[in-house]
Amino acid sequence: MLHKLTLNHLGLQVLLAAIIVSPLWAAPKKSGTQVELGKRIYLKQCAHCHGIQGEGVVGFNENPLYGNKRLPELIQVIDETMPEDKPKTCRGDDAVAVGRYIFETFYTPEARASQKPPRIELARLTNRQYVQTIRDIFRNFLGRPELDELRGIKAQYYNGRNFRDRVGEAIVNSIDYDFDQALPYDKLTKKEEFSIKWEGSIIAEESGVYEFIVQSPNSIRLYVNNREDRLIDKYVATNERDAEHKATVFLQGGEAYFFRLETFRFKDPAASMTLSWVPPGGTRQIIPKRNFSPTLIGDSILVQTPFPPDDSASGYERGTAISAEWDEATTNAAIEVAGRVLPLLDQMARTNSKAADRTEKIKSFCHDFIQYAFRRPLTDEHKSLYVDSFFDDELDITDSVKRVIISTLKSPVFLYPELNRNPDATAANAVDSYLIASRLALALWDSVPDTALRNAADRGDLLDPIKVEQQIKRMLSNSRARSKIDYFLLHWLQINEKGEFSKDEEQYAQFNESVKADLRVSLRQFLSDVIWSEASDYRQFFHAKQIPFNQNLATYYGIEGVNGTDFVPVSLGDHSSHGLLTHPYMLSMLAYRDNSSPIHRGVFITRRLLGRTLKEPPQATELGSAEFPEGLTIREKVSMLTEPTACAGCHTIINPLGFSLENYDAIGRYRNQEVGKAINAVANYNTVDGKTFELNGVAGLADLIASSPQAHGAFVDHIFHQAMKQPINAYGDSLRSKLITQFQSSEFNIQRLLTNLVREAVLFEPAQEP
Amino acid sequence: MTMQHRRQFIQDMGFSAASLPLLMGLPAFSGATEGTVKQRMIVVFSPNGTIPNDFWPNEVGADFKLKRIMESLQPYQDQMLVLKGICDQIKGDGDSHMRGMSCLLTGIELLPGNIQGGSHTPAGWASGLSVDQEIKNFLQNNPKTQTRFGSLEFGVVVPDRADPWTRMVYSGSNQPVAPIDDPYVMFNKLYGKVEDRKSVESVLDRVRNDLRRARALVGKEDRKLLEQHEQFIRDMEARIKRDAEHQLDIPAPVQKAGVKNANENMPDLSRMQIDMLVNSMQNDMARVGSLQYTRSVGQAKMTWLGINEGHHGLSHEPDSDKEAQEKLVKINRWYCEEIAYLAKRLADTPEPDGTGSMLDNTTIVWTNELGKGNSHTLNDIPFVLIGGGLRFKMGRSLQYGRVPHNRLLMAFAHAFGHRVEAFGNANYCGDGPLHDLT
Repeated sequence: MLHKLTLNHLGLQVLLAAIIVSPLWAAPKKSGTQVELGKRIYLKQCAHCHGIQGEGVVGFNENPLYGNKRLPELIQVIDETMPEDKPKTCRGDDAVAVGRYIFETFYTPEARASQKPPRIELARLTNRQYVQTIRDIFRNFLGRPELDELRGIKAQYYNGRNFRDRVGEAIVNSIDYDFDQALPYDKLTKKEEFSIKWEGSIIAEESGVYEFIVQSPNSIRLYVNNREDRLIDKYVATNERDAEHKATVFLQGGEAYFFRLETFRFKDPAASMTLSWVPPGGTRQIIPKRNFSPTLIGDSILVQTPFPPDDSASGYERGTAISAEWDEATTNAAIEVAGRVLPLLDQMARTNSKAADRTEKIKSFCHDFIQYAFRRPLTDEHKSLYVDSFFDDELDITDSVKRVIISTLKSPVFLYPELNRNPDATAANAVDSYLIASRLALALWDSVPDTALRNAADRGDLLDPIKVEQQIKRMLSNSRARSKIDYFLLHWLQINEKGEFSKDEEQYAQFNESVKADLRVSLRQFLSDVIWSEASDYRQFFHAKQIPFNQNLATYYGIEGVNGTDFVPVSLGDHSSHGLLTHPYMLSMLAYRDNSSPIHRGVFITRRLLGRTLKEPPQATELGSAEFPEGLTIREKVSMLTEPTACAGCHTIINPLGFSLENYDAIGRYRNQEVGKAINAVANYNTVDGKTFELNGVAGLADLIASSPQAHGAFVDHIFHQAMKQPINAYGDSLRSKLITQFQSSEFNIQRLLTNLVREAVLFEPAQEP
Repeated sequence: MTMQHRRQFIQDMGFSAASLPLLMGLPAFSGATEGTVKQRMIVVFSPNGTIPNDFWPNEVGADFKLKRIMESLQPYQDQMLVLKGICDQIKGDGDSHMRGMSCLLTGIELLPGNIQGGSHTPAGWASGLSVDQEIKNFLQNNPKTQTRFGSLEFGVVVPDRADPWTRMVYSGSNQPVAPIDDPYVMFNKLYGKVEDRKSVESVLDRVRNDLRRARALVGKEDRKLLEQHEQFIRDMEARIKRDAEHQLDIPAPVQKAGVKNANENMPDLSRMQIDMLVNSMQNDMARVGSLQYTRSVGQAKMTWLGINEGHHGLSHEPDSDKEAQEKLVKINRWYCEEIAYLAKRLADTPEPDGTGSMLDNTTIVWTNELGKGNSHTLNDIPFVLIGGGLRFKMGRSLQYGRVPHNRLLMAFAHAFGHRVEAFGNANYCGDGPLHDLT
């Protein structure tokens, strides 16, 4: 127990040190009495200046007692300087008690948040939702074919230089030709003169900026997502053999975009064409077959205006905060969209400049546009208010349309989807099928309802859970759901957050950007395959025996029999047959430059897979800067470093998890010895409910995660938050445990889980606020 | 030219999409270059050669009579220089139209390339920069003559193609500069987001009403978010009002709305572009400009003159086809009238600093890619100068004996104080800048 002493400054530090190492400190749950004491002291000595809840006192001390000092610092301030009117009358363990009380009750944002019950907060569209909503609104007018399984790009060949004298077509895998060596098509007869057009769609897997690179001394015209504006226009050839032409464009992931590349040769001294790109998070590569489709697709209106990043403080992106920059971005984006729409106006309104009823058709287009944007049909009164009032004889019709677009896209009804209420609603029918449809589209697609969903809403179907479930099933098979799940997986496993890493060149020669980029694709494909398989079994994340590899990866990791750029399932051996736990990308991401990192792996598993909270370490210590005797394995070093009691509180959890993966080095290769010693991957792990789990290497780890109810809960939390972008506990006390139980008794079917959670969440209505 | 993606223009303007630029506050608008005597040059291009008998004055010297095509320039005769005998002598790849167009202001051969014309060898872009860009660079390098854009390239009904027939301005070898022929695009470029801001301002009332109504729908906690949002809208409105108070030295011209960028609107488009060209120079956004009507081999169909054939087709009719020749005269008269309008606008506009009219300090250079359409000759390229910007001795008709046009281009540069020893292909510059101009 603590000593009761009158302490000077140095003494306080000793006391603090004692506190930090004492078991009392390390096990917060046992200190309830200390916090109660702190509360009594606070109310007696502090509240008259700081307010009962630390909110300050109006007219006297208006600064609330909120901040971001760490607890020891807070205690020090209290001990040395507080109360202000009678300093040094709150010392030693009183200071500690009061500091604890303040810290845990209202000082930190987390403390404040935990005081209030979670609720569904008003949220605006997140950036991803904004971009996809705009894209999908206009797809109603521009068309949106789904792609089939066919991959590769369609090439058309002409014997003349001006795309005359067509001689045939073929579907090719990629665009990489030396025309002086060989012409790509047998019916092309003249080496000196021909034209080729490659046309179809390009498939963007991830969202972000794509850099397109064309290498050719010949004429080049490249179109991406825009039939009007060429991304690269080098129609007049430069005749430089090594000429490279680049251009960038932002593309939303999980989508296909119109693509066309044209070239011709006319007496150019040399002729070749290579089309490469650098996708976001990737490395330069010749665009592979799987990113091409021969199907043509309409233009997409894809907002390029940059938005400030969404608030991710809760661990997932939410639209619950706004800023002046965000508001400005919505203005600029609205202007940008208007600029993109106006040249396509006649096409989208199905009229032409000479039509007698052009104005009517354009007004009708505006009515439709607003109904998609506000996610419900408009009454005549609203049509008049939102559209017709902008059309008058003074204004040119394009200016009217521009104002309709800008006013709609800046309207809070567009930006805050939950404001989408029937304007004539009473309290009783405030939630109608249109609102449910809007919630469904956001939850599963991060976008707006499609025609089928709108029709269901028109019929009033969507207050019925059975009909809602039918819609969910249909919507899951749409590529937009795939895209959102993909996005969820990237965030759950922190793939973007931890994406910057490189390896020691001597030890891991050739672990270059190309291998890393391919490993990332492999991981994403693996995860996606698990979810979209029929079983959709969560346990396969940890038990799958095969992962997709292409030739580049197979060669690097010593697997035979894989050729080409396509990814096919391979087994890395019995030792590496545990899904993402033995996937080289995960293991590399969570490792040092030159060795494995049990701490990084352990922390990741603890937080992301097992869902346990870990406080920040009391003092950050780098493994490298610590001194160790010669010849220790990394396990031995980590054990030594984390032995002190201050560290042990968390590291008794972290370490065994990390140690179980010690058979995998810094690039995820299997090893059974390190610095001449045999690898020891056995460790004991204590679960939350006090049981001991013997982890026998990765197999044990896989069993633990697959069977841990905490892990199940964590997974449910993550997927719920990504889908609904609201805290799960805001949806009633019992939803979370119900979803977990259902998940466990459905063979851990992830699609089933998603269906259940979305169905429950979209139909949930909170108790009315006073 | 199609309406280009907004992003490109935001990039061209040098602003990021995220900023609402306060263009009005830039020094160019506030007359920071006051005190220097301005000199300006505007190259105006019309295609397919001229009709020599109806164009070139018979007389040499200060006493000359304007023929039919140039009648509309009569009010400016004493500020004109008509130069006959200037020849585009650049050889090499490319047919005459190509070489006429892309060598016209560059004075240098075309690069070998893949674009095949009606004759000769295929060609690529010009292998050097054009004299207007040479002069622009010279002026931009001097803080006293710097302007926001340096030069502005206007077009009227320019086909949406990038090839050596369609470009006469080059910023370097293999680097053509495209003219902007959409007046709304040009307006945006010059006057920033004024129009956008008006659109935004006009809808903010609606937005604020929506926010107010929305507040009634949500609980107490959520109302804070909407109140914050409303504050941002109020701040934006205030900012827009403040920006509106910052004036251009000369307000932007009021544009006719809804004019489609197409052949039949060429008269309207021409005037819109000329008005903006004058206004932009009034606001000292640039000292060098060009105005390109269609392009070489241009096929303007001047239906408003009762002519239903394309210009280029007509230009290949033989001299004996009197009907065709008459139409060609009409077409060229129409181009000349546009130039007279430009001259009038400049003459009627006083210099903002009171040193005479803008025409006193601007020289319009009217030119063409060919001497004569049906022969494709590159001799006797029409060059007509109007205005005092180059400080030449005006009010004369001159005839030279087959001089290479490089020497005229050199003279342009020298007139700005840029004493180049050669311009374009140096082989044609031996005799120095063209004589007898000053």
